[in-house]
Amino acid sequence: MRALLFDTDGTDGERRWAIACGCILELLPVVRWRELPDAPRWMRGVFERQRSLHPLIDLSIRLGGPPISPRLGSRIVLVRLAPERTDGGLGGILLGGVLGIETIDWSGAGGHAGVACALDSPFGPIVPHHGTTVQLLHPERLLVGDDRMRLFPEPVWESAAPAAG
Amino acid sequence: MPESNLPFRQRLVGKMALFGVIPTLLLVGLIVGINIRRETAQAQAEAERAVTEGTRRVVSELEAQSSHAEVIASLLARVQAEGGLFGHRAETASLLRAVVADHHEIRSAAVIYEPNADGNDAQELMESVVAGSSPPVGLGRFAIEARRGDGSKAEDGEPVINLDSPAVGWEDGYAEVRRHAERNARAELSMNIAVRADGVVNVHQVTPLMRDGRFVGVVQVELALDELEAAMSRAGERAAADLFLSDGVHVLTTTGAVASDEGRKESAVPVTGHPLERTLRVFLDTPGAVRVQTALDPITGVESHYGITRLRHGNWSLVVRMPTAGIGESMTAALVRNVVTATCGVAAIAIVLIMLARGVGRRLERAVHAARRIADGNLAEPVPPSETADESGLLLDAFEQMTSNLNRIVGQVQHASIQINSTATELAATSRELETTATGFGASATEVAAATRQISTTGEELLHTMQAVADSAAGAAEKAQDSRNGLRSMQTSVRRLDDAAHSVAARLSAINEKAKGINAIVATITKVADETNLLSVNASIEAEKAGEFGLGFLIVAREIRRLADQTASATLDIERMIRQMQSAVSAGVSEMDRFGDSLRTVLDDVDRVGNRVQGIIAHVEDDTIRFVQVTEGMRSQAAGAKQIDEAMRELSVGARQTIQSAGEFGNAANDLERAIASLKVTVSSMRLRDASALPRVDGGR
Repeated sequence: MRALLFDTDGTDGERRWAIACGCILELLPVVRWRELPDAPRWMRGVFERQRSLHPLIDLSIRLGGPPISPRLGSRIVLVRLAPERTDGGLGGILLGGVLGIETIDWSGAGGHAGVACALDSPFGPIVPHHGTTVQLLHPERLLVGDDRMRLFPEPVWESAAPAAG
Repeated sequence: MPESNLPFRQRLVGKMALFGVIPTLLLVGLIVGINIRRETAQAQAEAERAVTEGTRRVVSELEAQSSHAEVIASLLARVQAEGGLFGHRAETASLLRAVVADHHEIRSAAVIYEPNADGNDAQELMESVVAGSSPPVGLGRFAIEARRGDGSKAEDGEPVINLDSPAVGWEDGYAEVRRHAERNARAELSMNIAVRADGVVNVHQVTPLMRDGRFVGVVQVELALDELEAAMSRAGERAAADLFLSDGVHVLTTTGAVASDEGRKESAVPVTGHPLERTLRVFLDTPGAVRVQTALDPITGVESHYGITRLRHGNWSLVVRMPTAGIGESMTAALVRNVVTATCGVAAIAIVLIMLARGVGRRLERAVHAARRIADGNLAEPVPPSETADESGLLLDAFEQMTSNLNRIVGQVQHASIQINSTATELAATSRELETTATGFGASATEVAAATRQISTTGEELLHTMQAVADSAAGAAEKAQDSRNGLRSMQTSVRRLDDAAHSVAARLSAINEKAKGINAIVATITKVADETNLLSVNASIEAEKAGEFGLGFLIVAREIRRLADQTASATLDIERMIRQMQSAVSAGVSEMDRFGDSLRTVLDDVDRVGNRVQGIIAHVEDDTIRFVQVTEGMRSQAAGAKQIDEAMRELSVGARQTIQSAGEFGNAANDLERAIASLKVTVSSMRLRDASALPRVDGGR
C-alpha cells in the first residue's frame, strides 16, 4: 500500500507514521490557525481553506507528546475525519515533517498488529522500516465519542436524526 | 722795569693820544682819499656825459637844418625836371625868391643850367643887347639866384649868363656833382659843399638837374652859416665847439680863437695848416657814434675833452671841446672840504680822548697804589671807593673786593696751616703703621699664591674629567635622538596598521551585508523548494489515487520531489555555509576590532614611550648643556686661579713697593711739617683788617 510517511516532531526519529494515500485529500503547507476555547489540547484550532474552516489536530499531543512547533518542512495533511458526513468532515492533521511516499506492506513478516487492533482504533499495524518502525494511522478514526460530536456536531446529528427517525 | 719820570696820569694821556689819535688820523685820511677818488671819477664821468649830451644836441639841430635844405633842393630839382619849369627862367626866378623869402635859414637859392641847355641862351643875349645892357663876357652857364641879405648881386633873380663861375666860388664842387651825375645818369645825388668866398664859408646843398638822363644843370640851396653858429653856441654853453667839413678843407668855429692870415677873426678857416690839424685828422679818420676822448689842446696848451660824431647829412663831422680845468677845480674844492671836515673830527676825538684819559688815569692811579699795598702784604687798609660806574670804577671795586677776599683767604690759610701740620704728623705715624701692615700683607699674599696654584692644578684635572662626561652626555643625547626617531617611525607604522584594520573591518561588514542578502535569496530558494516538494507530494498522492493512469505522472512527481529535496539539501548546505561565513565574518570583525583596540593600545604605549624618550632626551640635552657650562666654568675657574696666582705675585711685589712707598711717605710727611712751619711764618707776616674775624684755631692739632 502506498502511504505517506511522516513524523510528529519534525525529526527523523524513531516514531514514524504513515497515512494511506487514498485517505489524503491534499498536503498543505502550515497556515495560520485560530485556537478554539474549551477545546482539547490536541485540537489546535481551526484553519481556513477555500473559504471553509476545518479543525486542526496536533498528532503529537494526541499521541501524548509535546506540541509540534511548526517549521519550514511542517505540513498539514487534509483528510476526512468524519467520512460519514456529507461534506466529508474534512480536517487537518499537523505533521512535524513529511518523509516521503513509499509502498509499505503492512501484512509482511516482522509486523505487529499493534495493541489496538480493534476495528475502530486509529492506530494501525506497525512494521519495520529502514532500521526503525512505522505505524499506520487511520485519520477517520481519530475523533471518537464526544470529540467527534463536538467537532462535527451538526452532520452527526443530522445523520443520526434520520437514522433515529 | 724802569719807571718814567713823568706822572702816571700824563703818561696815560700820552699813550691814549698816541694809540687813539694817530690811528684815527690814518683812518680819516684813508676815507678822505677814497672819497676824493670817487668824486673825481664822478666828475670825470659827468664831464664826459655833458660833452656827449652837448654833442648830441648840436648834431640833432644841425641835421635838422641840413635835412631841411636837402628837401628844398630836391623839391626845386623835381619842379625843374618834372614840373615843366625847366627853361622858364622868369618863373624860376620868382620861385627862387619865394623860397628865400619863406625860409629864414636859407641864405640863397639858385638854379644853374648847362650852357644853352634850354636853348634860350642866344635869345637872352639878344635881349640884353637890345636892352643896351652890358653883355656877358664870353659863353657860359645860365645861373639864376635869389639871395637874402646884402643884395649885392642877382638878389632879385636876374639871370647871369656867361659865367664860368656862378659867383659863389664852388667850381670844384660843381664839377664833382656833374661828374657824379653823368656817371650815374641819375638826379639822386645830394651834396653839402662848403664854398669859401671873401673869407666866408657858405654851405651849399647841391642837387643835380637831369632831363632824359642827361645832366642839364644843378639846383643849389645855401644854408645860413650864422644859423649853424647859433646852433653850436646854444649847444656848447660851457665848451668851445668846432664844426668841420668832412673832407677836412674848412674849419668852422664858434670861439673865434682861430685867426686868419690877415690877423682878423674868421668863423671859417681851412683845416690845412690849422693848429688843431693833427688832432682833428685823428678824430675825422675814426667814424662811428659819439665818442669822447681827452687830448692836449695845441692852441691853449690845456688838456681838454673832445666829443666827436659824424652827421648823417652832408658828411659833416662835429667836434665839441671842453677843457678839463673845471673838473680839477671841483676836485680841489672837494679835497679842501673833506680835509677841513676830517681835521675838525680828529680834533674833537682828541679832546674827548684826553678828557677820558684824565679821569681814567686818576682812578687807575688809585688802583696801582692799592695793588702795591697788597704786594707789600698790607691787607688792612681799604681801597677808596670810585665815584663813577665805568670800567676803571669797576676795577677799583674789584680791588676792594679782592682785598676783602684776600683777608678772608689768608685767615683761612693760617687756620688751615695749623690743621695741615697736625695732619702731617698723623700721616707720618700712619705711614709707619702702613709699612708694618704691608710687610704682613706680603707674607699672606705669598701663602695665598701657593694655595691658588694648587687650586689651579686641581681645576685643570677636574676640567678634563668634565670634558669626558660632557662627551658621554652628548653621545647619550645622540642615541636618545635615534630612539626618538625610531619611535616616530613605529608610530607611523602602527597608525597605518590601524587604518588597514579599519578598512578590513569595513570590508568584512560589507561581506556580512552581502551574506544577509544571500540568506534572503537562500530563504526564497528554500521556500520554492519546499513548495515544490509539497507540490510533488500532492502530485504523487494524486497519482496514487489515479492508479495505473497515474504511474507516469507519479514518476514525474517523484523526480520533482527528488529535485526539490536536492534543492532543499543544497539550500541547506548553502545556508549552513553562509551561516558559517557570517560567523567567520563576525569573528573576523570582532578580531579586527580587538586588533584595532590592540593597535590603539600599542599606539598609546608608543606615544607614552616616545614622550618618555623625549623627556629623557631633554634631560640629557639639558645635562649636556650643564656639562658644557660646568666645563666652561671649570675652565674659567682654572684661568681665574691662574690669574689670581699672577695677581698674588703682583700683590706681593706691590706689598714690597708699598713698604718702600710708606717709608718715602713718612719722609714726605716730615717735609710737609717743615713746609707748613715756613708757611705759618709767611702768613703771620701779613697784616689783616680784623683779627677777630679770623676763624678760631684751638691747639696745635
